[in-house]
Amino acid sequence: MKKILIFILLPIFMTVLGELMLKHSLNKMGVAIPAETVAVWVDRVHPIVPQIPMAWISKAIEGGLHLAILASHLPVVLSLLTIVVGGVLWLIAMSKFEISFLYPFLSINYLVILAGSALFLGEKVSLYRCISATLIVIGLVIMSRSPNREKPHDSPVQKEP
Amino acid sequence: MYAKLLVVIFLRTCTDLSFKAGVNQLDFDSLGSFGPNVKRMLVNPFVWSGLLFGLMNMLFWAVSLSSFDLSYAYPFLSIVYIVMMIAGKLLFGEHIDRYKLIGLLFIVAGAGMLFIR
Repeated sequence: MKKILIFILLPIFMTVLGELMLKHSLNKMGVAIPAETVAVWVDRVHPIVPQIPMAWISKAIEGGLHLAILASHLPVVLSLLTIVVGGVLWLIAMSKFEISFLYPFLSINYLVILAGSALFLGEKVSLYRCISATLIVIGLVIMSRSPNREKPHDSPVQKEP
Repeated sequence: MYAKLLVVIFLRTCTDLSFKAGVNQLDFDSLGSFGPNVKRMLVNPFVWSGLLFGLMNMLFWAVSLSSFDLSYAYPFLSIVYIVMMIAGKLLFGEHIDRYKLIGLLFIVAGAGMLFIR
Protein backbone atom coordinates (compact mmCIF):
# COMPACT_ATOMS: atom_id res chain seq x y z
CA MET A 1 0.00 0.00 0.00
CA LYS A 2 2.83 2.33 0.92
CA LYS A 3 4.54 1.42 -2.34
CA ILE A 4 1.42 2.32 -4.35
CA LEU A 5 1.20 5.66 -2.59
CA ILE A 6 4.78 6.63 -3.33
CA PHE A 7 5.33 5.18 -6.78
CA ILE A 8 1.91 5.74 -8.35
CA LEU A 9 0.27 8.66 -6.62
CA LEU A 10 3.39 10.82 -6.47
CA PRO A 11 3.86 11.02 -10.27
CA ILE A 12 0.14 11.68 -10.72
CA PHE A 13 0.31 14.43 -8.12
CA MET A 14 3.39 15.99 -9.75
CA THR A 15 1.84 15.93 -13.23
CA VAL A 16 -1.45 17.46 -12.12
CA LEU A 17 0.34 20.04 -9.99
CA GLY A 18 2.54 20.96 -12.96
CA GLU A 19 -0.40 21.37 -15.33
CA LEU A 20 -2.31 23.53 -12.84
CA MET A 21 0.79 25.64 -12.14
CA LEU A 22 1.36 26.02 -15.88
CA LYS A 23 -2.17 27.18 -16.60
CA HIS A 24 -2.11 29.46 -13.55
CA SER A 25 1.10 31.18 -14.61
CA LEU A 26 -0.13 31.50 -18.20
CA ASN A 27 -3.34 33.11 -16.95
CA LYS A 28 -1.35 35.55 -14.87
CA MET A 29 1.22 36.62 -17.42
CA GLY A 30 -1.18 37.40 -20.30
CA VAL A 31 1.09 37.21 -23.33
CA ALA A 32 0.65 40.31 -25.43
CA ILE A 33 3.14 40.56 -28.28
CA PRO A 34 3.69 44.19 -29.32
CA ALA A 35 2.63 44.67 -32.97
CA GLU A 36 5.60 47.00 -33.59
CA THR A 37 8.12 44.31 -32.64
CA VAL A 38 6.48 41.88 -35.06
CA ALA A 39 6.44 44.56 -37.80
CA VAL A 40 10.16 45.26 -37.32
CA TRP A 41 11.02 41.59 -37.70
CA VAL A 42 8.73 41.15 -40.71
CA ASP A 43 10.55 44.05 -42.42
CA ARG A 44 13.85 42.32 -41.76
CA VAL A 45 12.82 38.84 -42.88
CA HIS A 46 10.61 39.71 -45.86
CA PRO A 47 13.43 40.89 -48.21
CA ILE A 48 15.28 37.59 -47.63
CA VAL A 49 12.33 35.40 -48.69
CA PRO A 50 10.06 37.60 -50.85
CA GLN A 51 8.25 34.53 -52.25
CA ILE A 52 6.54 33.81 -48.92
CA PRO A 53 3.36 35.85 -48.27
CA MET A 54 3.75 38.63 -45.68
CA ALA A 55 0.86 37.28 -43.61
CA TRP A 56 2.59 33.91 -43.17
CA ILE A 57 5.87 35.52 -42.16
CA SER A 58 4.12 37.71 -39.65
CA LYS A 59 2.25 34.70 -38.21
CA ALA A 60 5.47 32.71 -37.92
CA ILE A 61 7.32 35.58 -36.23
CA GLU A 62 4.45 36.15 -33.83
CA GLY A 63 4.50 32.45 -32.94
CA GLY A 64 8.27 32.49 -32.49
CA LEU A 65 8.14 35.51 -30.19
CA HIS A 66 5.35 33.89 -28.18
CA LEU A 67 7.47 30.76 -27.81
CA ALA A 68 10.52 32.77 -26.75
CA ILE A 69 8.56 34.76 -24.16
CA LEU A 70 7.14 31.56 -22.64
CA ALA A 71 10.48 29.74 -22.68
CA SER A 72 12.11 32.58 -20.74
CA HIS A 73 9.34 32.95 -18.16
CA LEU A 74 10.51 31.27 -14.93
CA PRO A 75 7.08 30.12 -13.57
CA VAL A 76 6.31 28.49 -16.95
CA VAL A 77 9.68 26.74 -17.02
CA LEU A 78 9.24 25.53 -13.42
CA SER A 79 5.77 24.15 -14.19
CA LEU A 80 7.06 22.37 -17.27
CA LEU A 81 9.89 20.90 -15.16
CA THR A 82 7.33 19.66 -12.63
CA ILE A 83 5.45 17.91 -15.43
CA VAL A 84 8.71 16.36 -16.69
CA VAL A 85 9.59 15.10 -13.18
CA GLY A 86 6.09 13.61 -12.97
CA GLY A 87 6.72 11.85 -16.30
CA VAL A 88 10.07 10.45 -15.15
CA LEU A 89 8.53 9.19 -11.88
CA TRP A 90 5.79 7.57 -13.96
CA LEU A 91 8.47 5.74 -15.99
CA ILE A 92 9.96 4.46 -12.72
CA ALA A 93 6.50 3.27 -11.67
CA MET A 94 6.19 1.47 -15.02
CA SER A 95 9.34 -0.49 -14.23
CA LYS A 96 7.91 -1.56 -10.84
CA PHE A 97 4.33 -2.55 -11.67
CA GLU A 98 2.50 -4.33 -14.46
CA ILE A 99 1.30 -1.92 -17.10
CA SER A 100 -2.27 -3.26 -17.00
CA PHE A 101 -2.43 -2.48 -13.31
CA LEU A 102 -0.86 0.95 -13.79
CA TYR A 103 -2.74 2.30 -16.78
CA PRO A 104 -6.13 2.86 -15.13
CA PHE A 105 -4.35 5.00 -12.56
CA LEU A 106 -3.29 7.29 -15.38
CA SER A 107 -6.93 8.14 -15.98
CA ILE A 108 -7.12 9.62 -12.47
CA ASN A 109 -5.25 12.56 -14.05
CA TYR A 110 -8.30 13.50 -16.13
CA LEU A 111 -10.60 13.63 -13.13
CA VAL A 112 -8.19 15.46 -10.81
CA ILE A 113 -7.36 18.02 -13.52
CA LEU A 114 -11.06 18.64 -14.06
CA ALA A 115 -11.62 19.18 -10.35
CA GLY A 116 -8.44 21.23 -10.03
CA SER A 117 -9.28 23.58 -12.89
CA ALA A 118 -12.70 24.21 -11.37
CA LEU A 119 -11.36 24.71 -7.84
CA PHE A 120 -8.08 26.55 -8.37
CA LEU A 121 -8.36 28.14 -11.81
CA GLY A 122 -12.02 29.13 -11.68
CA GLU A 123 -12.81 27.47 -15.01
CA LYS A 124 -16.44 26.73 -15.78
CA VAL A 125 -16.51 22.95 -15.90
CA SER A 126 -19.71 22.06 -17.73
CA LEU A 127 -21.59 18.79 -17.41
CA TYR A 128 -20.34 17.88 -20.91
CA ARG A 129 -16.72 18.17 -19.79
CA CYS A 130 -17.43 15.90 -16.81
CA ILE A 131 -19.11 13.30 -19.04
CA SER A 132 -16.23 13.62 -21.51
CA ALA A 133 -13.60 12.94 -18.84
CA THR A 134 -15.64 10.01 -17.49
CA LEU A 135 -15.89 8.45 -20.97
CA ILE A 136 -12.11 8.79 -21.42
CA VAL A 137 -11.52 7.14 -18.03
CA ILE A 138 -13.83 4.23 -18.94
CA GLY A 139 -12.09 3.91 -22.32
CA LEU A 140 -8.62 3.76 -20.72
CA VAL A 141 -9.71 1.16 -18.17
CA ILE A 142 -11.22 -1.05 -20.91
CA MET A 143 -8.06 -0.67 -23.03
CA SER A 144 -5.90 -1.74 -20.10
CA ARG A 145 -7.84 -5.07 -19.97
CA SER A 146 -6.52 -6.00 -23.42
CA PRO A 147 -4.51 -9.26 -23.50
CA ASN A 148 -2.14 -7.78 -26.11
CA ARG A 149 0.09 -5.72 -23.84
CA GLU A 150 3.53 -7.09 -24.48
CA LYS A 151 5.20 -5.99 -27.65
CA PRO A 152 4.84 -8.44 -30.56
CA HIS A 153 7.51 -11.12 -30.54
CA ASP A 154 8.36 -10.76 -34.21
CA SER A 155 9.43 -7.15 -33.71
CA PRO A 156 13.12 -6.74 -34.46
CA VAL A 157 15.29 -6.55 -31.37
CA GLN A 158 18.81 -5.36 -31.97
CA LYS A 159 21.32 -7.87 -30.72
CA GLU A 160 24.46 -6.99 -28.82
CA PRO A 161 27.19 -6.41 -31.43
CA MET B 1 -6.44 28.45 -32.68
CA TYR B 2 -7.12 24.73 -33.04
CA ALA B 3 -4.03 24.47 -35.22
CA LYS B 4 -1.95 24.86 -32.04
CA LEU B 5 -3.63 21.89 -30.39
CA LEU B 6 -3.16 19.84 -33.56
CA VAL B 7 0.55 20.68 -33.52
CA VAL B 8 0.75 19.47 -29.90
CA ILE B 9 -1.03 16.23 -30.83
CA PHE B 10 1.43 15.73 -33.71
CA LEU B 11 4.48 16.46 -31.52
CA ARG B 12 3.29 14.23 -28.67
CA THR B 13 2.72 11.37 -31.11
CA CYS B 14 6.20 11.86 -32.61
CA THR B 15 7.74 11.93 -29.12
CA ASP B 16 6.23 8.64 -28.02
CA LEU B 17 6.80 6.90 -31.36
CA SER B 18 10.47 7.96 -31.32
CA PHE B 19 10.99 6.71 -27.77
CA LYS B 20 9.18 3.47 -28.55
CA ALA B 21 11.31 2.92 -31.67
CA GLY B 22 14.39 3.64 -29.53
CA VAL B 23 13.62 1.33 -26.60
CA ASN B 24 12.33 -1.43 -28.90
CA GLN B 25 15.95 -1.90 -29.91
CA LEU B 26 16.96 -2.47 -26.29
CA ASP B 27 16.27 -5.40 -23.99
CA PHE B 28 15.51 -4.26 -20.47
CA ASP B 29 14.32 -7.69 -19.36
CA SER B 30 17.74 -8.77 -18.18
CA LEU B 31 18.68 -6.51 -15.29
CA GLY B 32 22.34 -7.36 -15.70
CA SER B 33 22.51 -5.48 -18.98
CA PHE B 34 21.33 -2.23 -17.43
CA GLY B 35 24.63 -0.41 -17.91
CA PRO B 36 25.14 -1.37 -21.56
CA ASN B 37 21.48 -0.57 -22.24
CA VAL B 38 21.84 2.94 -20.89
CA LYS B 39 24.95 3.37 -23.00
CA ARG B 40 23.13 2.17 -26.10
CA MET B 41 20.22 4.47 -25.28
CA LEU B 42 22.51 7.48 -25.24
CA VAL B 43 23.82 6.74 -28.74
CA ASN B 44 20.41 5.84 -30.17
CA PRO B 45 19.17 8.43 -32.70
CA PHE B 46 15.51 7.63 -31.91
CA VAL B 47 16.03 8.42 -28.25
CA TRP B 48 17.52 11.77 -29.17
CA SER B 49 14.79 12.63 -31.67
CA GLY B 50 12.30 11.67 -28.94
CA LEU B 51 13.95 14.11 -26.53
CA LEU B 52 13.86 16.84 -29.16
CA PHE B 53 10.20 16.23 -30.00
CA GLY B 54 9.45 16.10 -26.27
CA LEU B 55 11.01 19.50 -25.70
CA MET B 56 9.07 21.06 -28.59
CA ASN B 57 5.91 19.33 -27.35
CA MET B 58 6.34 20.99 -23.95
CA LEU B 59 6.81 24.46 -25.42
CA PHE B 60 3.89 24.19 -27.85
CA TRP B 61 1.71 22.79 -25.07
CA ALA B 62 2.43 25.96 -23.08
CA VAL B 63 1.62 28.10 -26.12
CA SER B 64 -1.69 26.39 -26.86
CA LEU B 65 -2.68 26.23 -23.21
CA SER B 66 -2.57 30.03 -23.09
CA SER B 67 -5.57 30.16 -25.42
CA PHE B 68 -7.66 27.28 -24.01
CA ASP B 69 -9.13 26.22 -20.67
CA LEU B 70 -7.10 23.46 -19.00
CA SER B 71 -10.30 21.46 -18.44
CA TYR B 72 -10.83 21.61 -22.22
CA ALA B 73 -7.33 21.22 -23.64
CA TYR B 74 -6.21 18.34 -21.39
CA PRO B 75 -9.02 15.91 -22.36
CA PHE B 76 -8.74 17.14 -25.96
CA LEU B 77 -5.24 15.69 -26.06
CA SER B 78 -6.70 12.20 -25.59
CA ILE B 79 -6.99 12.24 -29.39
CA VAL B 80 -3.34 11.19 -29.16
CA TYR B 81 -4.52 7.71 -28.04
CA ILE B 82 -6.43 7.33 -31.31
CA VAL B 83 -3.50 8.39 -33.49
CA MET B 84 -1.13 6.26 -31.43
CA MET B 85 -3.12 3.06 -31.83
CA ILE B 86 -3.18 3.43 -35.63
CA ALA B 87 0.52 4.33 -35.70
CA GLY B 88 1.40 1.40 -33.40
CA LYS B 89 -0.37 -0.98 -35.79
CA LEU B 90 1.23 0.49 -38.92
CA LEU B 91 4.78 1.05 -37.67
CA PHE B 92 5.36 -1.67 -35.07
CA GLY B 93 2.78 -4.28 -36.10
CA GLU B 94 1.06 -4.07 -32.71
CA HIS B 95 -2.21 -5.92 -32.22
CA ILE B 96 -5.58 -4.20 -32.12
CA ASP B 97 -8.19 -6.31 -30.34
CA ARG B 98 -11.74 -5.91 -29.02
CA TYR B 99 -10.67 -4.32 -25.74
CA LYS B 100 -8.55 -1.70 -27.44
CA LEU B 101 -11.25 -0.93 -30.03
CA ILE B 102 -14.06 -0.60 -27.48
CA GLY B 103 -11.80 1.47 -25.20
CA LEU B 104 -10.94 3.63 -28.17
CA LEU B 105 -14.65 4.14 -28.97
CA PHE B 106 -15.21 5.46 -25.45
CA ILE B 107 -12.27 7.82 -25.79
CA VAL B 108 -13.50 9.05 -29.18
CA ALA B 109 -16.94 9.64 -27.66
CA GLY B 110 -15.35 11.48 -24.74
CA ALA B 111 -13.20 13.67 -26.96
CA GLY B 112 -16.16 14.33 -29.25
CA MET B 113 -18.30 15.41 -26.32
CA LEU B 114 -15.85 18.30 -25.78
CA PHE B 115 -17.13 19.94 -28.98
CA ILE B 116 -20.61 20.36 -27.49
CA ARG B 117 -20.80 23.76 -25.88
